[in-house]
Amino acid sequence: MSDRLHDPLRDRFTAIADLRDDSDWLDVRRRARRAARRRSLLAAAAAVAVVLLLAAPALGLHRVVVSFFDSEPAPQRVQLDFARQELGAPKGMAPGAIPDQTRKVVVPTANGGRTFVWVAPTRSGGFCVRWEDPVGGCRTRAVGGQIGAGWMGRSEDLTFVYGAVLSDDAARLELRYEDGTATDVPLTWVSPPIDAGFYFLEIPPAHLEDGARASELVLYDEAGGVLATERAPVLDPLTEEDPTTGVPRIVRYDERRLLHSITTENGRTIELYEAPSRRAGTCAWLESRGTLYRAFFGCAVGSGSTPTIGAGLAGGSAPVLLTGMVSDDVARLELRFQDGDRIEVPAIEGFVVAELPRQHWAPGHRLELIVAFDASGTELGRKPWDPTTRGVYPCAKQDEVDLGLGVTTCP
Amino acid sequence: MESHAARIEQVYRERYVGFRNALAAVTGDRDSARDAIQEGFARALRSARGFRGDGPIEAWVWKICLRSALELRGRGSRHASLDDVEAGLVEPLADPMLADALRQLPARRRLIVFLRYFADLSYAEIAAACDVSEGTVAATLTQARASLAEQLQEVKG
Repeated sequence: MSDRLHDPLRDRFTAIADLRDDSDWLDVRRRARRAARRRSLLAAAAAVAVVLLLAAPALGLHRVVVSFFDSEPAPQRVQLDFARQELGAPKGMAPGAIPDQTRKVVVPTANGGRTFVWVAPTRSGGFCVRWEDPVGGCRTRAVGGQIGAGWMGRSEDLTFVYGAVLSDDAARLELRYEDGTATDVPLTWVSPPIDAGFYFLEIPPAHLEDGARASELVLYDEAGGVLATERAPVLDPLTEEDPTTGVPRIVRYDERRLLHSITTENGRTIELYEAPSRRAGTCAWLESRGTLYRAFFGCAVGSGSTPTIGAGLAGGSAPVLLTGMVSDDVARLELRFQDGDRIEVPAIEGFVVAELPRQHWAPGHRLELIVAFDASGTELGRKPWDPTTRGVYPCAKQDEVDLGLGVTTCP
Repeated sequence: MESHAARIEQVYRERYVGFRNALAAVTGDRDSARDAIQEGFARALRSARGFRGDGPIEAWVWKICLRSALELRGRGSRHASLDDVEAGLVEPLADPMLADALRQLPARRRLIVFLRYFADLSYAEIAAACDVSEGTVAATLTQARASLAEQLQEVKG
């Protein structure tokens, strides 16, 4: 069927169409690269948080050695960043950075360039870092991996690798490629209390192609013995989000079923969907206005893989939701509050979603216990919930707690 | 075989102006439409390997661009909300009669009209972009044209 032969409507649209071409394909490519890097930063930060082995302080002559305390002190804004990181950490998770000892360490890159990293020692003997291209994280000195690499980019397009090795025996770091070639990665050893070898490498364009990509890092000792290897990450394409839905591709989205829908106190409709996984089991997620909501997404391989109460609070802003999975035998959850109030939440095919009413946001009225029951009313399990955890329940600006250095949170 | 990334670039180079004009009808101005197009194509490029090829790539990219546009407007996304996408001429004074006539159409029908006449998508591409059948697209456009013709006649009369 065609409407092209004679269509006065087309003439009218053509007459008012803006025919200016302000397209910019290079900008599209830049945005695509930037986003890929942003996404990798989270993974990189997690990788850097890996716990590693304490190294002895001896320094070999084969290394470029930088004296930590002779390095340039960090300006106040950088110190504040590290300090805020401490203040903003969840209870018991603060890395213990010593912000006012932060130094700037210049690190040569393999292609003759230079970058730098802000390094702050921690009270436990580890260190926190923030690279020039702001990726960062903290490491403690305990048993674990030795190379501690962070990778930027994705499996098909890894563009940078960086990190710090802690093994005192480390003499040389090598990046191997799929085509059998390899590149030496310069190590810049920073003296105690940091005592680690930093590295940063931009992967050459020739090694961004199929069959020649980065495959692994290998750490050698002085005698050429292999101390450690670390494989380049391979992204599972099924874990990537479908850009049209925001939901990971592992879901057979066309087969989704609406399990439950709620309308929150602020008028938002939140829907709970379920669909088969492309691997095994089923996945569930929340949608609002047609897209994944608050990144709530989970898959269960089968019965027995889900804890009795795998649900918890998702808050920080309104609405505060109780959401998650429960075991197949759970028929309902009972939410018990500090003020004695109780709310029942039905389990729908192994999932729950409910809003915590505003009257249960204030201290003294908050959730403190979740109890699971089966269809006969038999109690199946309990899950305590700490009502004093900060940042879960929204609050008015004037009620925020000032943690110092400009960091505030709801009590 | 031509890669998906190359096809996305081809769609961009051939369809940019049409996509921008159609999306501007959704966002309300061309600058934000341009931003959504740039972001949408960037997302499509990043996800090129995930394009399953079970429909026209133009429709797939359009969906992504529409989602970008709705996000930029602080709203949600495409499918469930297609009936909520309030598209309209960016400059209604350029053709007030047409603008008025378009406003009389239901939201989804109006969007299909913009996809046809601004983005120049085929019936098959519109069908895939809006998750409806080609027959529905044909019927919708026929109804839209009739409705618009009637409206415009009334205005003229």
